[in-house]
Amino acid sequence: MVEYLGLGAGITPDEIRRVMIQYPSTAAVKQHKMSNGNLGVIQVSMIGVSSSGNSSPVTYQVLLDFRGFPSSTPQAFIRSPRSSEIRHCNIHKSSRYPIAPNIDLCAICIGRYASDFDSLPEERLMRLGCYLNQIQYILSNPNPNSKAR
Amino acid sequence: MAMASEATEKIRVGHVEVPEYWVDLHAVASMAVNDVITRSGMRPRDGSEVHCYLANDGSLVTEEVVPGQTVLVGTSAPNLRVPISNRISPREHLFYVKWERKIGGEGMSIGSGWLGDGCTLWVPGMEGSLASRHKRAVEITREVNANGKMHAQGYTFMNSDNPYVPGDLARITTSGEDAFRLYDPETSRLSIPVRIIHEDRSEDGSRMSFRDARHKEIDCGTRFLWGIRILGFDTERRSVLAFVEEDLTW
Repeated sequence: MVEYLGLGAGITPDEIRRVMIQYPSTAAVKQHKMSNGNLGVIQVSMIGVSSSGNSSPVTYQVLLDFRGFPSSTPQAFIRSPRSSEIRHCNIHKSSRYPIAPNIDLCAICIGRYASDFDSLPEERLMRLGCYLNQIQYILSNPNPNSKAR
Repeated sequence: MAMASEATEKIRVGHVEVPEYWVDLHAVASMAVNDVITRSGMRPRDGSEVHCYLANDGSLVTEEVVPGQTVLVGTSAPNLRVPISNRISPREHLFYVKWERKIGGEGMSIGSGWLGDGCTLWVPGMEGSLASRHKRAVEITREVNANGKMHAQGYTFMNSDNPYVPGDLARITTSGEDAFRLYDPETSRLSIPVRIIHEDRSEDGSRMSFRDARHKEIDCGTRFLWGIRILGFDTERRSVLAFVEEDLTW
């Protein structure tokens, strides 16, 4: 419990290294370095599919907003491909968001996962791993019953 | 004999980027590198290409890993200056400091001398306080150079009742189960918790806080070992307050 909240909001350097085992392309967004030394936003490349009807692989550049982690559900946005090139039904059309007000980002719809995240044990690495798995799962398995575009 | 057999029936897999992360694979025969990467769960999901390196010398393994070997998976070769593979339990020594050389600008130096097994132990101290003296020291990590020469990193301590005094220099690991702990001669373990200052209240502002050190790691690279200077030893709680010594860490 002490470690759960004691390490502060955001992602610690140790946690980023753990993410890099499965996503070596992970990069920190330095503009979002937090006052406690943790990182608020990271960018990860994830390989998903084009759409529910087209399983050709697409590499998505995903911005992950961990500023409220571990107590709040992180948010995920697609930075590339561009909105006009995205066919995945669980990715919203582009808009502007506070984490990067000057670039178009497409939010990823996580459905009801936020409540699942809230009920996860208060263990940082578990929450981090589960969230990344969920985003990876969504990108790899479009759900036409929960259309975002 | 049984223990030796168990040791050779597994392949230990670590990761170049994550010092404390190990996965043991049961293996009675050689295993292809690709299988080692996949079965250890270290196959990247973002399409990055990773390789397999022998932990003891960092050489690239291209075909098979033999049971009993320890390997590291990563996108690039391990930096063997970080003794990821050769971490050992703390080992106490009484050794003769034969050499001393100055480091940094605050009167710090590094002393070194041979241990009985041919390894050279390196310990930090104040200039002029190390050479030509016998010192009690603890070795916390050991690595083997490409030429086979062993080097260990450690630090000195005083006695069981009061092992550290203000101004002493030491090293702590920053990850793993013994992270941020100093050696306690009373328990023969790394059992003295170390608290790094949260803010520098010194007159000259020269003390590096925990936050400063983490920021520096982001800019200059992470360090498995942090050099620290002790500010106080609490004899009742057996805990230490310290700050990070930049010149001893980066």
